[in-house]
Order: sequence, then structure tokens, then C-alpha cells
Amino acid sequence: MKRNQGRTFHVGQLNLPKQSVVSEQICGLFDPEQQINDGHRVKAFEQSLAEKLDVKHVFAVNNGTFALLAGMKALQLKGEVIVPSFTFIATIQAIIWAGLTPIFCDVDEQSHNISADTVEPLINQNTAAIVGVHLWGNSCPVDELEALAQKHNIPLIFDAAHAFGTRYKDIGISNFGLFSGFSFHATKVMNASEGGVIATQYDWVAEELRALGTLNDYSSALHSKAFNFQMSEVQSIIGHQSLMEFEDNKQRNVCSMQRYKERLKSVQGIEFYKFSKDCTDSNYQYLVLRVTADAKFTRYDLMKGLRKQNILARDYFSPPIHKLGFCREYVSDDLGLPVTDMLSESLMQLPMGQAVSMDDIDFICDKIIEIV
Amino acid sequence: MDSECNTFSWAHYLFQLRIMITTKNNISEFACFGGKPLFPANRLTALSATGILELEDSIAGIYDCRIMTNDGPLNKKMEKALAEYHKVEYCVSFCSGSMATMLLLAALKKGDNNEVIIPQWAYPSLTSLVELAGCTPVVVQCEHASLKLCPEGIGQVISANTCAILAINYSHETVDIERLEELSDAFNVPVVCDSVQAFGAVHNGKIMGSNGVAEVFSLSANKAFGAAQGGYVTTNRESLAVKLKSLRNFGFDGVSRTSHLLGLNAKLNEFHAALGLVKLNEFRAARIGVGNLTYLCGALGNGLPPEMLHCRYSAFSETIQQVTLFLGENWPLTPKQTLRILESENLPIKRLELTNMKNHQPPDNQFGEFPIGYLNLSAIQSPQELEQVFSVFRVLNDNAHQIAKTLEIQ
Repeated sequence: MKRNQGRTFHVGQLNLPKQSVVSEQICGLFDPEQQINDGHRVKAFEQSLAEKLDVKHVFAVNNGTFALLAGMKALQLKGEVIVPSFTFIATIQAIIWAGLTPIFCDVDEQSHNISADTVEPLINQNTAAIVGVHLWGNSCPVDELEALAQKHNIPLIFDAAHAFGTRYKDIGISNFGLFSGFSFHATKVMNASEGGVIATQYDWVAEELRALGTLNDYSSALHSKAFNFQMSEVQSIIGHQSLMEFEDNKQRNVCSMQRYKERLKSVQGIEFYKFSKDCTDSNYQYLVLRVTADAKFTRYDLMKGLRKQNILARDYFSPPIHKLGFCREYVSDDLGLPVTDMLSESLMQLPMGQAVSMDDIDFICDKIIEIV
Repeated sequence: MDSECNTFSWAHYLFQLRIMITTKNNISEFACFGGKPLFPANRLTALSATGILELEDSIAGIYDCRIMTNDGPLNKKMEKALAEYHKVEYCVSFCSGSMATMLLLAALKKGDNNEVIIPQWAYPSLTSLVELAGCTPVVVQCEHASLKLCPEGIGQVISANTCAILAINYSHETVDIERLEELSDAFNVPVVCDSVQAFGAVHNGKIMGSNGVAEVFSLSANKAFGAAQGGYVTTNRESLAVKLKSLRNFGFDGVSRTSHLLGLNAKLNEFHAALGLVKLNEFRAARIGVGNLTYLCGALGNGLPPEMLHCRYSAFSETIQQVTLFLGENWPLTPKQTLRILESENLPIKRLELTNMKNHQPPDNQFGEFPIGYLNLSAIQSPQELEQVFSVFRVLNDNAHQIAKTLEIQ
């Protein structure tokens, strides 16, 4: 039988937490002595997350989109939000569902993240917030963004969907900004099948979040805005086990990433993504590479060739969000985001995670070398 | 079901029941006064041993196919089973009933025509869901005794800006859907029903699920039928089902990876879908039917005149999500005193928590504004549990004066 014949390799981690633990605990929810509606597993999970993230307040929510949406609703923002277009669609959708207007900014060519230089020209009297995205688990330039936010007295928020475990100058990433929203989607290294978390160091933000999620507190100013965004007990069981396995999964990612880089180092036209020097730790769940301008092949050719081998490399994020139909009303005809456009035409991701062994990586790399 | 009642010796059964199960017989047994609570706190309805095995198998299946979410096979299976149950063409699952409602309204919004007609009395988060959907709530009076959306009131506010009429079906009363559909046809405005509390109810011989353009149901943990979290929409409109599936998945169209719709993540994961499937089987197998329930409510409530306490539910079919208990004006304790005792027993019962949508305030007097006397008895799975509940009410009624005094002292 041909090597890896019939197998399909997906981008995304798909790290399934230990089955016996998850199954036993979910089935255990129906033991008459067990409880579910008071969410004590969710509370225990939140406590473990707070310790792991080294942050004061943590709210487990039903998914990463709602982490951002609920956070922004709790801050009662109104107006424009400066946000990169080069991000997953959920960042922008959360802003719009929160009743805010996205103002798209460009990103840095090396870090793929926003910077003070890309944000500051867009700040005006209508600016309600800046949303930074720690893309690929690499930290934004937090210091300069915080200084900029402070200078203009604008709230700074972080989409940390990719960044569970990321540290900036050795400090947990959720210590920065008013709050950070993490995703625990099934394809994340830290997952709860679906899920997310809002993390904040600020007591007042935590209070507003509590009020937003409390449906029957008539004394709260947020009462009429309240809605249910809480994580379920089932999700917290999966998430808790995933948290137990996080360091092992992260270590596997480090090894996989090294293997890819080692095997493809001599391929001309491929450039691996590099983390910023201030990003002192991450989860390394995304293997991102760029097909450079001097390559003798195109990204399309490479992805097509891999797809024929059931290697489902992905061209994240293409097209960039500002070019999608639902954003049309937020984008002027002369909007220019040259770095975003360039990245969206040249980046791709390769399979990683639990289901991708070192042998599999060798197989994928062999195919890449064959194609190019 | 009626024939079952006729051939079965209920009197003997109830006699046996009262011997076999723990009930409350005097006030010193109340948890409020030092006794042991009747139920464990916040328990989820139990699964049978077979149900547990089915659930384990389903979880093993999730691991085998390595699909934990994103419209996986268990979601599809649950949606198919629920569509069959509700006798509709389509069912679309969501991560919660709230998100099902929110995205349903978003799907019906047409440009600037974004007003949604809602009843004056509704669950607290309704207006925030309407607003999250990008719509404007327009509040219409309810009929006093039933909480039903008042069709006459709708006629006064419906306009070209109206994109939907949202009616709420309760366990004790379903809306007058025929009248609402007449209005819907006349003004070309879709009617949607929030049927979260009316799972299993039948109106004019038709099971809830196919009324109006779409109906919303909940799968939350405190429901007799649920999936520990989630919700779903039932509809016969293919275009609406397709749109809802796209909206719950970031607006992706299912073919390309491009999104032209403003969606978000509102997907139900496969573990919850597995739970939903097992619970649906168990719930249907339990068959706490309307005939049995009518008989039980009457028999177990024996000694409590209907003007003091009675069960209300619309014509239910083979299953029942919950009944509404109505504390009449002659009930000897205040709703607050009653609830205090019931809550300390961890009874699966709570006040029908409704908010005035006009001012976001709860009902402000004891019986003058109707919702305060309504108690929802949910997640009842067996006649035994129902008997336990009624034993509490009997002791409350028989010892009301003493209880009121003791609570006052406490």
C-alpha cells in the first residue's frame, strides 16, 4: 500500500482530549448525585484557566466570537473600532453584531499584526476602541499599542483566539488591554469542542461582564442588554481535559514546526513565519509559510498539488475580510491595505496537530518538494 | 392514552406510589425548617442505563470520526430526528435557544424594515436578543389571563417597517396561531413562535413546530427534553433553513469558503447533539401522556380546590415539557412565601420569570399582574416526581398559617 494512501490531512489541531476521561465525565453528569445547572465545573475550569493565563478574572463562554461580542457589549462601546482586515472573519463579525463599525487597518509585513503606525492615522473622534489580533499566536506590539491607546484615551482590546499560552516579554498575554477574547474551537490547540474565554485584569470590566450575563438582575444598568453566553458543563469537561494536555500538545507543535522547517529549508520560494522577539512563548499551533515573489511556483499550484494528495493546505485569510460582501458598507472605494492584500495572496498553512505524525510531516514535505 | 387510563388502576397505583417514595407530610420535614430537601440541588434529569450506553457509543463515534463540531454527523442526525418529531421539513440546531431566536430574527430582517412585534410580558433577555439581531422591538399587550400576544394590539402597530411578529407559546397556553397567520397574510409579515416552553404541545391537533414561518425551541439543561445546552429552529421553508445554517457558521455558504452574509459562530457541538439524541429517545419512551397527566394532576392535587391551585397546559400529545401551576387568589400563602419553601426543597419549579418589555421591570404586585402567580414545573420525568411535588403543596395548604408565621420569624 502506498504511503498515507487514502488519508486526509487537515489544517487545524484537532487535538482530542483523552476519550476515557471526557466520556466518563459527560456520562457522569447524569448521575443523580451530580449537578449541572449551577455550573460548578465551569467555575472550576475558569479557576484553572485564570491560573494558567495568570490573569485575575476569567469568564468561560460558548465560543470565541461571543468572547469578543460579550466583552464589547459589556464595555457599552459606541462608534468605530479600528481592526485589522487580516484576521479570521469572527473578529469583524463580533464588532458588527455589537453594533459597532469596523474601520479596517493594515498590518505589519513581518508580524502580520497591527502596530501603532498602522493604527494611529485612523484614529478620530468617533473611534470607540482598537482591537488588536495576536495572529498565529504571535503577540501584537503591546507596549506601543497601549501607549497609543492611552495617548488618545481609547480602549484597547485583544482578539487572542490564536494566542492561548502566548507571553509578551514573559508576561501572560491576557494581562494587556481591557480584555482578551480566546477561542476554544475544536481546531485550536486548547479546545472545548466549541468554547471561548474572556480574560481581564480589571475588576470593573469583570463586573460589567457579570451584569451582562445575569438575566434577572433588575438593578443592573445592563439588565435590558443581558443575554446568555455562558459555557456549558459539557464544554467545560472537554476544555478542562484539554487544558491538562496543553503543554504536551504545545511541545508536539514545537517539534512538528522544527521538522517542517528543517525539511523545507532548502526550498527556494518558501519563507516560514517568524515570531516577534518580544513574544517569549506561544502555542505554535499554526505552521504558516509564505510563497515569496521569487518563487518559481505559485501558491495556487502548490495548494492544488497538495490537495491532489489529500493534503488540505489552506490559504488563510483569502480573500481578506474587507473584500467580503457583508463588509461592503464599511469600506470606501479607495481603501488601500497593501500588506493585507499581499499576505492574503501569498500565505498558506500546512497540517499540524495530534493527527499529524513526524512521518506524516515527512510525507507532506516530500510532496511539497516534488511539486515545486 | 385515555383507554390506558380506563384500564389501569390509578387509585391503586397512587396508593403504592405514596408508600414507595419520599414525600413531605408535615412542616417539620421542610428543608426550610431543618428537614432534608426533597430533590438534590439543580439536578439534571436522569438517563437510563441504556441511555448512558448510547451516550458512550456516540462519544466514541465522535472520537472515531474526529469531528467535534461544524455540522457533524450527530448534529445532522439530531436535526433529522427533531424535524420528524415536529413534523416539519427542516430543523437547524444552534448553540443556544437565545442564538436560535437572534439569528432567526436576523434572517427575517429586510433592510431598514427591522421592527419586531413582541409581547409585553416575555423572558428578560428578549429585547436584547431582538436588538442584537439588529432589529427594533415593538411591544404589544398580552391577553390578561393567558399571556398570549393580543392580535388586536398587533393591528395597531404593524406597518411597512415590521419584519416579524414574535409570539410566545407557553406550556399552559399556545398562541392563537390562526388569527396571527391571518394578520401575517394581510400584512405580508412572517409570524415566528418562541416555543421554548411548549415542546410537545399540540394546538388544534398539530404538534408545535410547524406554526408560522418558524418556531424556536430550547435544549438547555433545565428542560425535561434537552441536550444540556443548545436550541433549534423548525421550519418548512427550505430557503430559511439554508440561510440559518449559513448564519450559524459565520455566514459561509457551505460550498466556497466565502461569506457574504453577516453570520457568527452559533454552532452546537457534537457532544451536545449526542446528548440531545439520547434524551429525545428517552423522553419519547417515557410517554408521560396527556391522559395520564390530566388524571395525575387531578388525583394528586386532591384536596386542593382548583381556584387555589391548578395545573394548566394546553392539549399535549405524547410528551410534555412542563406544566404551569397557577396559584389562585385563594391560595393561602404569598407567591414569595410559597417559592421560598419550594426552592428550599430543590423542586424543579420556578416562577414564570417574565419581564415587562416596556420598562424591563418584573411584575410589581402579588396577583394583580398575572405572571407572579404562575409557577413552571419543569423536568418532571415520572408520576413519582409529580407526587412528591404535590405532597409539598398539600402540606403548604394544610399548614399555611403556621408556615407564614414561622417564615416571618425567620
